[in-house]
Amino acid sequence: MIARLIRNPVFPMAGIVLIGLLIGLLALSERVLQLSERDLQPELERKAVAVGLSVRETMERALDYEIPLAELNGMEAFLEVYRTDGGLGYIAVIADGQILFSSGPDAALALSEEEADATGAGVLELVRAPFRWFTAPAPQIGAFDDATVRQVPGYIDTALPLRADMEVVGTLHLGTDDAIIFAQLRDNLLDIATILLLSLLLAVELMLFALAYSVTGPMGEMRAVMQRVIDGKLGQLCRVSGPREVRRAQMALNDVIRKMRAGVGEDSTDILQKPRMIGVRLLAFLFVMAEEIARPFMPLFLSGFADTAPAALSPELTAGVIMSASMLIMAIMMPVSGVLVDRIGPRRLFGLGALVATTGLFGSAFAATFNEIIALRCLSVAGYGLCFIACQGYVIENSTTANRARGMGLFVGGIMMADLFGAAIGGIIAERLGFSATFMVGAGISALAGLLVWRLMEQRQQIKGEAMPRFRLSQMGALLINRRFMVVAVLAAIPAKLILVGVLYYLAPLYLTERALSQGDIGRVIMAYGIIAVLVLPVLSNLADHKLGYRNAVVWGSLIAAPLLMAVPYFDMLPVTLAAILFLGFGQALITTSLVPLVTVICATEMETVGQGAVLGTLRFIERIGSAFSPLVAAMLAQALGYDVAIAVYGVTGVVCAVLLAVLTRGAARS
Amino acid sequence: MKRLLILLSLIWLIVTPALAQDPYRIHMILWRGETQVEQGFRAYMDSRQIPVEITVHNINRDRSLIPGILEEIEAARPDLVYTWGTSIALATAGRQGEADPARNITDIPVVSTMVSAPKAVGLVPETGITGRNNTAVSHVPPVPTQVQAMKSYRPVRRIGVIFNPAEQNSLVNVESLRAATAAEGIELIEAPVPLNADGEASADVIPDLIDALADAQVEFLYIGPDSFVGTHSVEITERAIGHNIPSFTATELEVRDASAMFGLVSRYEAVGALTGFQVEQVLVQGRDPGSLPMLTLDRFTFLIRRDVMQRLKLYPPMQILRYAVVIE
Repeated sequence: MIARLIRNPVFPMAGIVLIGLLIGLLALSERVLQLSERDLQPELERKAVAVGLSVRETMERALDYEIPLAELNGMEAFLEVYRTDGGLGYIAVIADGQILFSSGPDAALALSEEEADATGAGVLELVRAPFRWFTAPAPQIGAFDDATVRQVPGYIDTALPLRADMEVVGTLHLGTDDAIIFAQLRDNLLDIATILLLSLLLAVELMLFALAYSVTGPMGEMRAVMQRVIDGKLGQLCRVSGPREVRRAQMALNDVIRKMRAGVGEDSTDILQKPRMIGVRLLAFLFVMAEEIARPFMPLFLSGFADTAPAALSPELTAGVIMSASMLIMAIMMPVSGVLVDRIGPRRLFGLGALVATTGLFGSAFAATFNEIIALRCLSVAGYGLCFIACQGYVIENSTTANRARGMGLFVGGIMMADLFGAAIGGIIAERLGFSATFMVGAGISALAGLLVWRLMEQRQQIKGEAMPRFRLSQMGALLINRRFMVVAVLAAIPAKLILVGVLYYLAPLYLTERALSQGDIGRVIMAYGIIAVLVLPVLSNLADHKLGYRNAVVWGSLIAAPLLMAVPYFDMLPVTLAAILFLGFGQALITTSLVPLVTVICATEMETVGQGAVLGTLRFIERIGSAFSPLVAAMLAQALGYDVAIAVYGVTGVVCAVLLAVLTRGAARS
Repeated sequence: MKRLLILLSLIWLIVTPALAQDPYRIHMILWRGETQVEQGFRAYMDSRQIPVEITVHNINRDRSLIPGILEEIEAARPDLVYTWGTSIALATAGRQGEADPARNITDIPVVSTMVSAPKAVGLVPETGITGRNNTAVSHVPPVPTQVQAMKSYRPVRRIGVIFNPAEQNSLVNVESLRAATAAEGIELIEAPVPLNADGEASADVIPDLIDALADAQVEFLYIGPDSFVGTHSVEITERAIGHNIPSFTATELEVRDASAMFGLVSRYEAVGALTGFQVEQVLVQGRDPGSLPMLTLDRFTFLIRRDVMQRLKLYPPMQILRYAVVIE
């Protein structure tokens, strides 16, 4: 496999481009980080100086009234007010090497002679080391007015001289907790790293797309035509498309064919066209990204519409109702889109979907009332549903059973990439530019997808692909009486979606907002779910296929996904929440890879009678019902119990379902 | 003060100054000549470009002159009468419900400034709106606020007060002081000035009264709105300093001209400007004085005398120094 990759000339080429890109991005990131540090540190010092100047002004007034420095009255209370208002670690007045007055537990540090060993700074340096290779160190601490600034352990110490009658009689020291600085720097660093990762990913996506579209695609077609010529078939010419060099080669090939035809007296204008599916990956990436970037703040954003909601809904329920409504629209859109894709074709359906989604997203940026936002959210999700089915339909129309899996792989790959990074990038945009701006970026991405579809999906020729039996609600009956199917659907499929939507989309963002996490961090926590899934999926699917068996994989997945959620209310810590989400991602990846094969096994009879489409359609429909009600359930739980306990309740539900599933499918484990 | 300034500037925008108007004729009856209150009043009238022609009647602390002046004013029929202090206000406009056209001015608008407790002495009713021909401006912060100001300077257990029991407004004020100190758990040591056979207070006893308060170990000497105490304020405050007792006052004068260490006061210029605003309502806006509520400044100044503070070596807490005005 690797040898084949290396022999492929595309691989080293792409590698070189990527390395160059990586170096450029790292250098750019370092520069951005440096600038942010340069702005941030003086900003905080300036604040300490500003507080110091007003403390000093009052103190020097007192000294001007000939009150001796040591006899200033009520200094502790006075300094305390400035310390807490200014968010400082300590304020101390030092004269003759003694602390005369102070506020804050660490005020004694103002006396310390030694410079900081800078533990906090050390950690940061370590993280930044890779960036440091590219540029010189950031500019160091400066000075304002007559203040001097130095580092003491844990604090940045700003010192101002105190004067009485032009004589310096003491020094005022103000300590800024350096954790504040490091926390902000860490935020910047993480944001920059996220953007760097996303840029690389996007670059790879675009490069692979460009290569497939203009090089490997046309060349594949040429090879197919040549193969036919070798086989003595001259009936089809090669399509002329792609860059100039490629077009020349194609035209030359066609000339050769025409000459050969002249020899045998055959003539035809038929052109061989292999449908190009690579575009679907980019389109899926774009339309999912457009919706996904609002993910980390969606419940928080929606709860803001509580005051215009009917029947005095609480903020939690307002968000729950709107999210459930849009999920329900999604469930309904799927069969509707299925009918539409047959009528107007995937390309126009995608265009329509992108237009609807763009309208919904753009409007969401300006929505003012509950009615507006619920309508706009549903519109946006409806557009998402249309695009989803359009992409799926395009793959089905342009593939045969032989290459359908690969086509679907492209489609799912695009969705997964967008799922993975949408929330992280959205969190950063929301944190820095606000919710409205994020929706507008989403609208822009969606509009771009709508424009690109005219280039990326080929116009419908005729339905060449083998038609896949379409799912109809009437076919569900046969499955609903299959006990084993229902056990898996109710105890594995529904809980999985219930927890995914309820916890990851609704409860976690609100819980983390309550814990004062920034939008950027919330986005990254949500991204952790996707990352773990992407990392373990290939390993797990192999494991499920060969060692574990599908039933065991689903049972183990359910057992792994939920339990840690129960710990969230007991540990008010980010690492616990993060770990719970990682386990959720891991467990659900296991379920995802095995659920469909498991269902095809236990519904072997129905696969024969109503077909695979109906079986999987029923499964998806049942799942989506779970998704649709989850935000509403989560909202009611959160309102009654708080976000953390509500997450735990979902955990308990997951565990109970998993145990029941394990017990009820014991027989299947042996078979 | 800030709110007042905003209000004033708003009114300035809405109402164009009266141009080419004959000067309004105002008669002032003053207790002891013109003070910074009148400076503030005149400055306000200038800044609002309200033309006024002011006639000053100075009684120089002699209440017996008032009836004659009122007769003069009745004959002159000015547009408005301006009075200074509680005594003149009561003599000019009369108590609420007791105004007598024979003795009081009842048909010319009267605006009384520097009335320490207009409601307590019955110049205005509880609503602050008289429904008569007069309205008032007060300069004294509420007594509980004054007690808080003393507490904020240093912990207090005992406060001494010296007052003339013959003065109505002083008695009313001491009554409030009793309630306010009791509420704070502070002991109030009262030193009423003995009255002679004519019912008048005598200055001879002042040193003895102060010495007695010093023996009672009071931490502050409280100086209220009391004409007798005001007249002898230098002697009283200096004698207290001799015993290391700082004096607190609710009026600016005792900090400036006597030796009170500090006070919570209305600046006189500001009181004058507020009076000017009230007069403008009546003269320029044509409002009925009986419909105007009495006014008080809503911000007071913490005023400290630096030299007295240094003599007593009693330094204010830094929190107070943030906003206090320190004068020489």
